[in-house]
Amino acid sequence: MLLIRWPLALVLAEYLAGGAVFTLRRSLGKGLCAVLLLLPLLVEFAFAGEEQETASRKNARLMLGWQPQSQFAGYYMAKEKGIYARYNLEVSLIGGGEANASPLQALQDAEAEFAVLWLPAALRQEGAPRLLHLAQLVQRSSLALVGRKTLDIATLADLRGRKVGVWSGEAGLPIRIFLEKHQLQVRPVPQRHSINLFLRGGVEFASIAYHNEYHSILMSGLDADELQIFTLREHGVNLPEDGLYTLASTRQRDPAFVQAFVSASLEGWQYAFDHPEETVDTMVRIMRKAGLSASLSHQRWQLEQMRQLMQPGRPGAVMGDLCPEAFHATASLLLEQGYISSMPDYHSFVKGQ
Amino acid sequence: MIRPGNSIALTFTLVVSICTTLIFSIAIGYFYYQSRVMLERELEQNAANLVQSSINRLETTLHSIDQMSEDLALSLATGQYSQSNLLDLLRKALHSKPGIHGIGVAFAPESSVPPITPQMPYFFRQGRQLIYEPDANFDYTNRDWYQIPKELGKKHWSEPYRSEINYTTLLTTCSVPIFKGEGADRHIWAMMVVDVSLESLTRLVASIRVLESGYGFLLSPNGTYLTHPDRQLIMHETIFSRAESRNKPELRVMGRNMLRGESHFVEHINYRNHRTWIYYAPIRSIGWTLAVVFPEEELYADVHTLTLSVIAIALAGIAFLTFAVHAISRRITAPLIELTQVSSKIAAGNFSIELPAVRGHDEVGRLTMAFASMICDLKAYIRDLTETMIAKERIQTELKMATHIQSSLLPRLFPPFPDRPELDIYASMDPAKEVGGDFYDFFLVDEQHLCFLVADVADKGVPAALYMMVAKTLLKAECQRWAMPEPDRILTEVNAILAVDNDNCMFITVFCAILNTSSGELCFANAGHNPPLLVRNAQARHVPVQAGLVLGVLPDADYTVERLWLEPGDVFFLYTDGITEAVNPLGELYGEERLRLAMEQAAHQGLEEMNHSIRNDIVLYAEGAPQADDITMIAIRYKGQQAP
Repeated sequence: MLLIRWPLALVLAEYLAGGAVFTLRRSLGKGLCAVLLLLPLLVEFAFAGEEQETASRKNARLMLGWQPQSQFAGYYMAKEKGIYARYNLEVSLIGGGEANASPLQALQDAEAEFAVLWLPAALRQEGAPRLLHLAQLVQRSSLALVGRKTLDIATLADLRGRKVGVWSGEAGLPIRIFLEKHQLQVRPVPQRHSINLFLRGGVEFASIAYHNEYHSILMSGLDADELQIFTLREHGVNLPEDGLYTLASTRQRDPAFVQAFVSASLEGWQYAFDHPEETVDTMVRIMRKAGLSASLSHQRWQLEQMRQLMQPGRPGAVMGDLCPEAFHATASLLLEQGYISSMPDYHSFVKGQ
Repeated sequence: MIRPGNSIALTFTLVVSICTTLIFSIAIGYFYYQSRVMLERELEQNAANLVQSSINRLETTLHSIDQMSEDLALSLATGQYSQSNLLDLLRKALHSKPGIHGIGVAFAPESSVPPITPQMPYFFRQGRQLIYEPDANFDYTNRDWYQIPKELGKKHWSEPYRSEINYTTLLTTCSVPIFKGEGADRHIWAMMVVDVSLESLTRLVASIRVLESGYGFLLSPNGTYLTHPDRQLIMHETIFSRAESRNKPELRVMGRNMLRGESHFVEHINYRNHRTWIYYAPIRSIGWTLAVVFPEEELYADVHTLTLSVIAIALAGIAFLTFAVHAISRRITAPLIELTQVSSKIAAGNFSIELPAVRGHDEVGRLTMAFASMICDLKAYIRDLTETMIAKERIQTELKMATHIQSSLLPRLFPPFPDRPELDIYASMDPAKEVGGDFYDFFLVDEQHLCFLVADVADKGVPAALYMMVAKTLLKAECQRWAMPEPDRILTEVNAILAVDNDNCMFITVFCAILNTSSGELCFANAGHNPPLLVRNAQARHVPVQAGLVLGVLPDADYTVERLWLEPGDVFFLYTDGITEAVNPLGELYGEERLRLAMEQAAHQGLEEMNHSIRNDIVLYAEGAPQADDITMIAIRYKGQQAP
């Protein structure tokens, strides 16, 4: 397009120059025409450059595990601060949630190139299409059962017969494993990710993520010393959670693209942890724009918890590494409870051989 | 320098100013404090009224919704509804209540009774339309508005939430569970749900205006802000998340109190960092909390303005009072200062100074008048004193002249008879006052006879001196009348004269003697005088004489003449009692004996020397005590006939 326009511009210029012998009024009119003709040219010239840039960036869609929140701050900050752009990536972040398809489904249906999945869910995907583990963000379990201290419950065994809220789907899997492993004869009550059932006394114990629902409970008026908490981590069910996954085929097609995405995402997380206040402000803005309730204090809490959850699992490891010990522990537990049929291989899972 | 200590006006003014300022300060302070207390009390009452009336209105609305939900639930439970009947019922109910956003029935999936399809018929309001929205795939069993009333087994108002159809619509749902079956068979059959838009319920509170910047806000059962002037908080923050963000633990405590359903009137720093009073109370039917915030500054604005006005008036008053007090005290002290200045001038002797004019009949006026009369009296007194002084000086001068006359009257030239070597005479008279009553006299009667005498008039001073002059003149005249004078006759004659006109009872003691210078025969007579001393051969002794009566008392008194013979070298010493009765500071008399001893000691001296010795001895003895009586001495040394 540019090749056609420029000669046109040149012709116009020549015409204008020749038109200088005419009277003032006519030359003024011609001047106006020239401006009107030239302006779109200039604008097009300016944008043409940008088009060229965006045209060269690769599209990537990331399906998040849930709705936008600081649990996924790294990806949002990578986008917001142009980190993805620097890696030549054009990333759209798709919020998950109950109303949406599961991240796994999104990968399978090619609705997204990347997805945030929990390790147990990923391990259960034993068949095709093959999942590729790209990075382990959350190194440890954030889940727990929380109840009011007034219930005189000292040990896990005291949970017998109590109404315990359990999540459905992949988020509820570690809870179910926990209950089964410790053979806790509770009265499970199917529960959404709302704390109101617990707050109103509909269940005695609720499933919570320490980085999310726990703080929501505190922000609804209950004091920490009024609560009793049983974390999965300290009771032998320390299943790592958020990780970055893609289909093996995606990596096969363009390994550089996948690598770039992972690196940029990790860089985004590092930025988020280095600039917590800016990150929290950004997340609140994004969440409110998406029609979600968001408060600075809650996002601050969640970001700090994510920072702790994403600390490397052992000395010498860096953010994003999946420790073999954690992998094997998770796999063993799944196998033991019958959620997978065979012991998967660490290297093929992580490296994708 | 004018300091409060040395100026009455300044002290007075300062004291009055300070006291008035103190009094005003206390009064105004108390008034301000009490006004605030009263305002706060009134405010609490007003706040309670405002909050309660708002709550009552809300409760009325909620109650009617409650009632409708329960009625519908009951009719559904007891009645037999076909599909169209049910939909009709729901539509009519929604239509009848404009405040309701949506209405529906959620049938329990596990219900044994074949449910009406779809499982959740639902109508909602959009503008003027009533839209029928049944979603066959909608799994509502895990929704709060279903699960909570199901688990709790009773009607429940949900925590406000965003509509799943349109997230900008904020709703709260009244759910009434409908159970069927008895005992162990009891199970949930359906859930009557009535969705109410938050806006319709919060409108009332959002419109609350208190003073200028006061406002109300609502909290949900979880403490979420449902309405607030800062719209950023609504549905995003709870009072606890705000407490955490603003780092205000007291806000969290207040939130917990609110959620417990308590009602208080407390002080509070609000989100704009203003000091405020906040009154909160629960809306029990729905579990919300209504709070109204009253900005303190505006509340007290009127009191502040009033207090400032009062302070301004007080200050003006104090300033005026200070000036007035100062002016009045100056009115008092100015005349005093003038009087002080006048006093110093008068003290310096200027009596003709004019006093300040008497203004008014107050204390200052009376003082000025008293001052004036005092000055008059002072002038008169000083005038009298001056006259007296002048008179006294005149008398003094005359007395001096009299002394001079008297002393020149007595023979003073010594030696008196240089051509008579057989005689040596020395005499002295020292008066106690300017003029004395003692005298001596000696004169040659003829070639061979010397008459000498000593006399002492009663009393001292001018009367005695006058009497002495008379007596001396008489004695001498009497002596010279006779060719052969005899001392006793002289005394008799003089006594006769003196005793006649003696109204004043004056008397005189005399010792008179006549010496024959060739033979040494001494005739003498005594009229009550001290016995003379005879010094012979360095020994002194008193000459025994008859006492005799003093002259001037009895006209016909008799006197005796006695004789003795002087040997050459003898000293015949006459004196008055001024010597023997001289006292020392202890009151002891000099005495006859001491005189005799002193004479013995001075026996070898010349008469003048002897005279001086005696006088010195008396002075020494007196030790500074004043001379009480005239001291007179006359000494005669008889040397006898010499070879020519």
